[in-house]
Amino acid sequence: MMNKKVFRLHLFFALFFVALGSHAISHHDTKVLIEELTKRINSGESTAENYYKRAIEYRVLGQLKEAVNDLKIALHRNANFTLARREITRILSKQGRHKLAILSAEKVITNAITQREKSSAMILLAQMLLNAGEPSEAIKYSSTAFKLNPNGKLEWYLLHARLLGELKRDNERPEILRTGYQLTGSIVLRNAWIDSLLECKKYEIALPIIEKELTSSRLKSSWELRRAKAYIGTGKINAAMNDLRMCLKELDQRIHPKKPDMTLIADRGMANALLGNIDAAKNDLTHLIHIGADKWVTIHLDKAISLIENQ
Amino acid sequence: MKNIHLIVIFCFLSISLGQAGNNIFSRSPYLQLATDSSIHIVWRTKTKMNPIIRFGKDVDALNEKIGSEFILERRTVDESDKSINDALSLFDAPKGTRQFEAKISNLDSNSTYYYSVFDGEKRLTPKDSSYHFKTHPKPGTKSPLYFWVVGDSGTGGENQAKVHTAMRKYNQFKNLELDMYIHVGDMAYTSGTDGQFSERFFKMYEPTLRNTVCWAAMGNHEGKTSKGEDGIGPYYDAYICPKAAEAGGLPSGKEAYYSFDYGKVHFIVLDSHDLDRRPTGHMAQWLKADIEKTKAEWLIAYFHHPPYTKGSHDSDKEQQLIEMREHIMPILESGGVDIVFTGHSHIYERSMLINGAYATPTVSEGVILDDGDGNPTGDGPYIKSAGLVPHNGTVQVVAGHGGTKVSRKGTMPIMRSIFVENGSVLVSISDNVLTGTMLNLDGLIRDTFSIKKEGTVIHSPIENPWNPVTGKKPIKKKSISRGIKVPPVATMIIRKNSQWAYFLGTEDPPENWNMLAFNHSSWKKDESGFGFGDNDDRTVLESMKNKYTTLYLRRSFALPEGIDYKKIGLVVSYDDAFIAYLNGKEILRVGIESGNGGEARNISPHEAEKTFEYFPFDTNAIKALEGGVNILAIEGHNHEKKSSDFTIHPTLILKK
Repeated sequence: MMNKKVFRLHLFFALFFVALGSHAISHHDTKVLIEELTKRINSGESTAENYYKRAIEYRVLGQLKEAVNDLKIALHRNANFTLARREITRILSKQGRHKLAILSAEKVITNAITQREKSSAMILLAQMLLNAGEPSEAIKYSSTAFKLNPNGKLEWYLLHARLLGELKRDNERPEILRTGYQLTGSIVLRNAWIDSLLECKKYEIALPIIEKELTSSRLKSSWELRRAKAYIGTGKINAAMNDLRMCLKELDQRIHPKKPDMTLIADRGMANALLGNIDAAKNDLTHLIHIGADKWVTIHLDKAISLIENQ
Repeated sequence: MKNIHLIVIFCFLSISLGQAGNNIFSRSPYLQLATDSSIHIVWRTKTKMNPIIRFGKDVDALNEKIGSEFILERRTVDESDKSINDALSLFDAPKGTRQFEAKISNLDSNSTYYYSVFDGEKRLTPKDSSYHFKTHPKPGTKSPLYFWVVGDSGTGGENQAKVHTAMRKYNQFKNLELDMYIHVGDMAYTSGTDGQFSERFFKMYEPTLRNTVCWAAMGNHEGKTSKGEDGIGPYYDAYICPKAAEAGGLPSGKEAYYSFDYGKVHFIVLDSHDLDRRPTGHMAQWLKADIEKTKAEWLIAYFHHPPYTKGSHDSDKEQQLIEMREHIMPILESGGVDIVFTGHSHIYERSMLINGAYATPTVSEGVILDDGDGNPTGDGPYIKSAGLVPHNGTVQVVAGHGGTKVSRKGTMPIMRSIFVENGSVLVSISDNVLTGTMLNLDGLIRDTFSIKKEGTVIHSPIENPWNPVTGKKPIKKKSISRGIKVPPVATMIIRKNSQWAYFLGTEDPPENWNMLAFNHSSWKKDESGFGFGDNDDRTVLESMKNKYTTLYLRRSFALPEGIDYKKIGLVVSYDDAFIAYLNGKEILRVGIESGNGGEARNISPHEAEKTFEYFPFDTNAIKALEGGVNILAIEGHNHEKKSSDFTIHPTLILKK
């Protein structure tokens, strides 16, 4: 858990302006709030905090350009305003301005005082570097973050494991995910750990857990898909095909025909690919790309399709 | 007015009396994290004490007790105090504050116990049956459930108190007792500080909190001082949330989002404020896993930011709300969610039975499964299949009216019941029927709806559902899905690749744009067809994809003399849909269910495939013809911005 004193420092400015301004802004309409803050700024209260607050409201409305402008002013007035620095970093990355996002994250590290602040800032930089397509640089920072703060957080483990995957160091993924799962108890890390075991062909560890989940779950498609992967890996092709067909049957009931859930489309695409339904798998992959699915979602499906096609 | 004063006085008196004799508490005892065999009792003092909880099933015989070995003590830390670890320190509580968190285990399920807090041998809470708790029924067993839903309440003001009092009086009158209380966020305005929590939440609701667990979801105002990523702040000091699946569900590893069971009901609580809401985010991944695991018969989700609202916030415009609709709702509905409670928007809005309403802006066409009022004494309850069935219908309830100032921006088309007044929602689940009641601050029932589950129910989306603006079903405009084969042509009145004036739908066209008298000299002109992406367009609209969906066209023509009007018809190649006007009068709509221009709704996809279809003029169209110059105006529509192609290529013919 993060040190509370450090956390207080992180929140210093937020609390400060909250205390200063909260009495005056009692309504909760985003546009009205922006108007109110604009009035304040124009009437002499052009503080870094007010620009920061307005930037957050602009971000809520998706007006990222305006948000960035306000954050720049906030940082011009207070270069050590960590919350604003973190915010502009994330928005710049979202805008695809990766170089600027990286520079901004580096400044967050420079401003960090304690080891915990530094480790958190390094994770931010690692994320920005990943977004910029530089996983080999990114992993240096996520590794350093873990050295500074060995316990880490759920998000850190997921990021680090992903970076290992991007760098094709798949054999190292199970260990970091298992450690994260043991420390946080998060089922997301547990499931990611099982997936990493399957990728590393460690079926004997993964299968008993998968079997248990299949027995206890209401909806089984994601576990049938995992077991099918294990069966394929151990040469039980007929059993795998049976699981994949069951998986698709359930997914057909769950996937909304017009507005499908991205995570289910990814599962269906993979099941189709493993069943050899390449056209259907490609359709799902195209759909995922079309709706802006994360590269991490599409890359595995793409890989599976290529593998089956080349067989 | 006199009544209002009396209610307020009653409320403050009841709170004051609740506190009387308990001055030792800076937060009076309240319940947290209940399971079928355990409960937490939490309280605060300003001084050291020897904490003991005595409890038992008879209010006169509290025969069992737990002492400090089962009671976690947390406190505020001075800079000089190095003796306390992070997990035991309070975030920003006043100096000297001690928070005691007593966990009582090995309890019988579904059982009521009475309790009292002691300092050594000194009793601190009065001998009062209202100090009691009830354990949950065993997960998976059938048991009725009655709970209170509140959002955006934490002003510490009169209306918040009246909403609370109305609920208590109603329950007293009906002889009902809450099994739990869920709060959808914004419980301590304006910044969720420790002091605001104490005054505007714990003090306000003290008589309820002493015997009812509040299961909370974080609001944006708590988010000003508490952070979901770290689980640190006054919000996280106040609540003990089951991050390790202590009360059912799957472990989230974070207090910011979690799930729990009550008999056959599974609750999912999300942090819509400050965590990644994308499907690849850890919260969504946990949600998918949790929803796949549960074998409950009812699934209830709640969080702060509403996917559908036009109250004080607009879910068509604000990022967090859009993301909850586009990313989270598909996961919930593919897992069979029954009802979603939210707040943030200061209003009461309750939907019809919906499914798949993920588009932005939200439309009602094609997403309403039952457009009745859901009232058992009105149109009847919403009927769903037994158990949890994917995409079988969800009711959305925005309950952001718990105490703060209410307001309304517009009308969300999926809503069936809207009230701009303070209040709360009471929900009961008994076997296969869920009933929700909106009780306003004066204790009046303003809305009642039910969901009944039985057998297998297959719903079909309603194309023209009940409209909350008009209060009735719309009159369906005649829409043709396709034209017919083009007949042999005698005369081309408007030829292929003719010059048309056109206006891009990046904004609404000028008023009367389709009228004969309108002057389109400022519009661009070029040859038809217009479009992109399918290599069949003479005028390629490079800017259209991802930017706009509508194109407006105008062209004048004169009819040859002495013709048979019944032989006139439009011949059009189109992708996806269009509306045609003759001299300002709508004569044809193809693939568009309702609305015009930017308000066109339920647009069906259609591929042009380099072919033309024939639409003969009907009587309506013939009547619109003028003897001299006529204006044919067309609005062409793409069914969505990200569509890969678009075509509109109209001609006018006289058939042989």
